[in-house]
Amino acid sequence: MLIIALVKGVPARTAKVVRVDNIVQRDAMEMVVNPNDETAVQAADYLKRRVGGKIVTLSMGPDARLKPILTPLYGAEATGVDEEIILSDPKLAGSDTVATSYAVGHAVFKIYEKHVAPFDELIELISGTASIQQIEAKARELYDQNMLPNKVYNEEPGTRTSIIGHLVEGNLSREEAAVRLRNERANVTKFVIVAGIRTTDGETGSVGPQVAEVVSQKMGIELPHATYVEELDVDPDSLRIHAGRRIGRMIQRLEIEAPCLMTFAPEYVPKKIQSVDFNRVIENYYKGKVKEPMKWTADILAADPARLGFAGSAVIVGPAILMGAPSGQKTLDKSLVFTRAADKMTIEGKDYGPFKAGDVADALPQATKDELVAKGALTPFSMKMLGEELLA
Amino acid sequence: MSTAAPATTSAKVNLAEYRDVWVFLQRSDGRLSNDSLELLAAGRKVADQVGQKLVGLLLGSNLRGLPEEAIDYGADVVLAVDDPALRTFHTMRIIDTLESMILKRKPYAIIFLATEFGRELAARLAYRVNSGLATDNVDFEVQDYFNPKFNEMFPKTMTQVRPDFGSRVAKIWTPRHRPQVATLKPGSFPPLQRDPSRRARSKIEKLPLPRPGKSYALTVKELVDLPKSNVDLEHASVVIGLGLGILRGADGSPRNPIEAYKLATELKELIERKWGLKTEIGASRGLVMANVRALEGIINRDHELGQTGTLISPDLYIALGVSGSAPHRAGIRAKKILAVNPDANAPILLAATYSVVGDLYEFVPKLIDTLEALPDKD
Repeated sequence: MLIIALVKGVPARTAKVVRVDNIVQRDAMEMVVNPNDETAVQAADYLKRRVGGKIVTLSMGPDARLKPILTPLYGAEATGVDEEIILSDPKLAGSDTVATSYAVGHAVFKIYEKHVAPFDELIELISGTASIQQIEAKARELYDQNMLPNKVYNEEPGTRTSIIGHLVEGNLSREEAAVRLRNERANVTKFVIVAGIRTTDGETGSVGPQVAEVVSQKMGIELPHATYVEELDVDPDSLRIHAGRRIGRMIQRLEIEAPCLMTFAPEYVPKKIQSVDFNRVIENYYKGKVKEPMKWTADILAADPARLGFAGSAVIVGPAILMGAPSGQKTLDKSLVFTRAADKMTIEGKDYGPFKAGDVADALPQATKDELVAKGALTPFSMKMLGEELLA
Repeated sequence: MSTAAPATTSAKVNLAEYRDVWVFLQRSDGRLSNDSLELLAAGRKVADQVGQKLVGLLLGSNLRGLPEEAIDYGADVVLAVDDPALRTFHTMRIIDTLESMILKRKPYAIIFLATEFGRELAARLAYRVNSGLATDNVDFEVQDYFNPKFNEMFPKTMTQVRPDFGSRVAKIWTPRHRPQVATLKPGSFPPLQRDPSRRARSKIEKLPLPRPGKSYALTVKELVDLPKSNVDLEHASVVIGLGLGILRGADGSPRNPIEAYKLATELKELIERKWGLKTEIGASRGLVMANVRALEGIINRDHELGQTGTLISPDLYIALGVSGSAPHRAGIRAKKILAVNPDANAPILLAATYSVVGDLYEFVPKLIDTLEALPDKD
């Protein structure tokens, strides 16, 4: 099963957001993997352990910043990421969710295309006049590039269990081999896209469902999506997905035909795998991992440039406005409050008050506050005052 | 067909063709949900400002009584699709239904609730109808919008106001596309007064299910109602919220969180006894998700506060060891907030009416003593 995990790099502390011309400068901020996307990678790992296959992560953002945070996903014991792709191009800057989904959806399609192409190449060779040796050489080349599963070609010593192996041994005719390759190609078509429910920076949770829509339009099918997934299983024979999700005070249980897209809630915990057909899983594995994240630029996507980045964005975000603290905010033992009512004061042309007893005086100029404290008109906000006001 | 290639976004949309403000209503226990009433109020504001009709959308099965309720609470028109196929919250089918309505009727805006269901509908639908999306809005305002980059004035555009990276708000516009698709954060608008006299001036239109025979790659196998929670955060006058901060003292030393829970319980009982105010204990998502062993069986998902948990609007919210992330604060609409946190920069302190920079394990006992010492209320 081809599993594509969408993984975003997010600012480590949202407080330190850097913007230039109102575009978030991801280059200038410390990044971490979006925590919800780590949950999705666990789901991807579960699927891979259950049915075999390959996990490709897809990220968008400055590649120099993303590489260091993505690389650990290869190494961690629980995660079986095989390949990482980073969509990195200044043309993508300033994307809203629509433009982001457009780019990411096109990249997903590209990944899918890349993984069916080797089957088409082999089927064409087999159906044509190429010699068995030429076919085997091509299969080995593609296998070494991590583009064919063990089931199609492998070099396990002493075994010739793959489709191409059987073809070379004469156990399968060319026609039979082509039929079996077509079946395997169909399995790659049942790919699954996984993502976190939302990112910790944008918080919109929109990109998942929108990517499903982009891929649908691109492939001319309707690729279903399910958000907030908490329960997941897959039938290894049919590759049908069983997913449970919580909407409101309801659990909705779904059966989904891949290809599909799911976003995972933080509550998701991979099930323990009780029994698994290891031979089948291993057959569906690919040769190994491509340990260096791959950078893709926008032109790889064959996308409409008018729909990328700021130009392709439908929404315009105005400058952020600080909401500030609620008026009259009081800090225990620190804020100064009036001990008695006071009339309106005009200090350096600015009006303050009038004040009631208990009103906070933090906005007054320091000199005025000092003067009023000395007169006993102001006092620090105490525990007793807090107690009296709290439930009044 | 939905799968046909869409026109590029650079294609110009005839903005004036698009009329009326649509709101996607949801139900709860056979009535419109409370947040749907809020959504009607928000939609009413936009419709009045743009000078168009407010249209309530009801898609479901056995909708009896709901269209009238939508009218009573502010809708001018209700478009109802009542079909058993809509009973199971099948996302793809509902999106198909909405898409077909939008293509036929061309609304100015369509607003969903920022619930699990509303979010995914809004996102996918916005892309499908080739428009933009602004999520989690707390307010809307219709204004003429000038964009200096395009050097163009967009008359009567919906300004969508949403929280942005913590303690700020951002204004968002979808000037060149229609319908403007948005989600509304529940708790942002008070519902309008119920007014059955509105029915005389309103219209309920029943529409058939489009593409009734269509089959989907996704099927709903089961819908299970979760049991009602025994914590009634929604109706409490005072809510005490516990966060991950209860796991440590201000000096960073580990604390047994059960002590914090006991202190919170003592405070709750005191407030209930002395002031007669219904008080409940809740928890931040962080604490609920941490599955702290000491709190097993005490704190669970029914206690979760914030955007993904229960949205509350108590008179007083007491936040103990809660940092106050944006999604947490988005779910709290308290008249007063008392927040205790050792980190002076914790966002919850900035949002609080009363902020206490310090250790909750020292503060709460003192607060209890202070409240105990107050003269009894008569």
